[in-house]
Amino acid sequence: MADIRNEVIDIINKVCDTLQLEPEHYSMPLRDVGVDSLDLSSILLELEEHFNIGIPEDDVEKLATIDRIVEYVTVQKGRE
Amino acid sequence: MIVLQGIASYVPENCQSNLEKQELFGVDENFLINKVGVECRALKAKDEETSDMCVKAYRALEKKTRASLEDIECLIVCTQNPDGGGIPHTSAVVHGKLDAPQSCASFDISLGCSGYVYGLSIAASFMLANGMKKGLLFTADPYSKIIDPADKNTVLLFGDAASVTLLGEATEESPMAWKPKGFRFASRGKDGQALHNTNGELFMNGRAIFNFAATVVPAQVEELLVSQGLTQADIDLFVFHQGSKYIIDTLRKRMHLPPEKVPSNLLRLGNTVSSSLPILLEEILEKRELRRILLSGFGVGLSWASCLLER
Repeated sequence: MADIRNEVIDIINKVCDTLQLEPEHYSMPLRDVGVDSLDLSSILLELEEHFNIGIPEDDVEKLATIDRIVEYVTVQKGRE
Repeated sequence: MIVLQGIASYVPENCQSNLEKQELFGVDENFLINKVGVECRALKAKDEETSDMCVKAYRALEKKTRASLEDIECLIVCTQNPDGGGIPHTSAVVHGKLDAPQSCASFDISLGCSGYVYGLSIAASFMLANGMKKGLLFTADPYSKIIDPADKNTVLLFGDAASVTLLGEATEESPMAWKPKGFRFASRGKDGQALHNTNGELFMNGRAIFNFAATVVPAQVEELLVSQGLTQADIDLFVFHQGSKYIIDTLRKRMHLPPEKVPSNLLRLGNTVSSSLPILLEEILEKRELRRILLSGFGVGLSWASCLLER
């Protein structure tokens, strides 16, 4: 899970290149960390391409924090 | 060979501010200017019809070129927001308002953001197949007719405008005229509901449209370059449909293009659908140092198309 967390952080940093993410941000709502709706679209696309997963529209609301994204990707990868 | 002999546009004077909507939609100026990329959106008058916008674009063309209506053999309008209920077709209405010759063929093309590239190919092919020497390709798709002012996804984005491109037979007197070539077309109808008009209201799934454009456009551009034996270095400018600053920036980054090769002009226009490419071209085609431009339009359908302009 640590590897997935690092990859998720790298993706978010790549998309939102002005953010300086700290561990205390991982449980905060993404909007509060500075991720807007357009950034989120980019992040979701990068996650899908990097991890080779699909993220249905209905699942997007679950991905409200970085921790939740990491958990989601971990579960998706575990299903392969 | 059919070449571009002039482009003119009509942009309504009224530019509706996005900045005034910050509180309503919970967005800030940085988001509007640096992400969406639209400070204000051109908005036609309520009683201004699609055909009226085309006529105004033509009047601008008359001032720029030696275009004469009596020479025009075809008049094509690309729109999905026609005059009235679409019958008669908008190109026929424009034909009437301009008092174009009876011998002039007039028809509409129903396409959105891919419409200008498709339109160039359709117009050029139609003219070549029928021995025509002069034709007009209009784009005019005023989405203000169908946008819900309470819909954050669309009201901050789309603007109204029209364009007209004069197409003609290549001659020795115009060696610097732009020649369209290398067309690539594609469709994905099964995902078309991502952008639709139902009961007169536009709906757009922003994420779906973003994903679509971010993935298919780079692939089609690469396909086009390979088919023409070219690389990115051979292209002077990559002119993308002005969907939003965000998609233009995303395409530029995903394709590793330098910013100076990717022009943009939607800040005080908005996304003008099929008019976005010709309005941007109108600004840049006069630059004498340019020799090869790649156009790519993508959106409603889902539909996308790319081509080269060379001289």
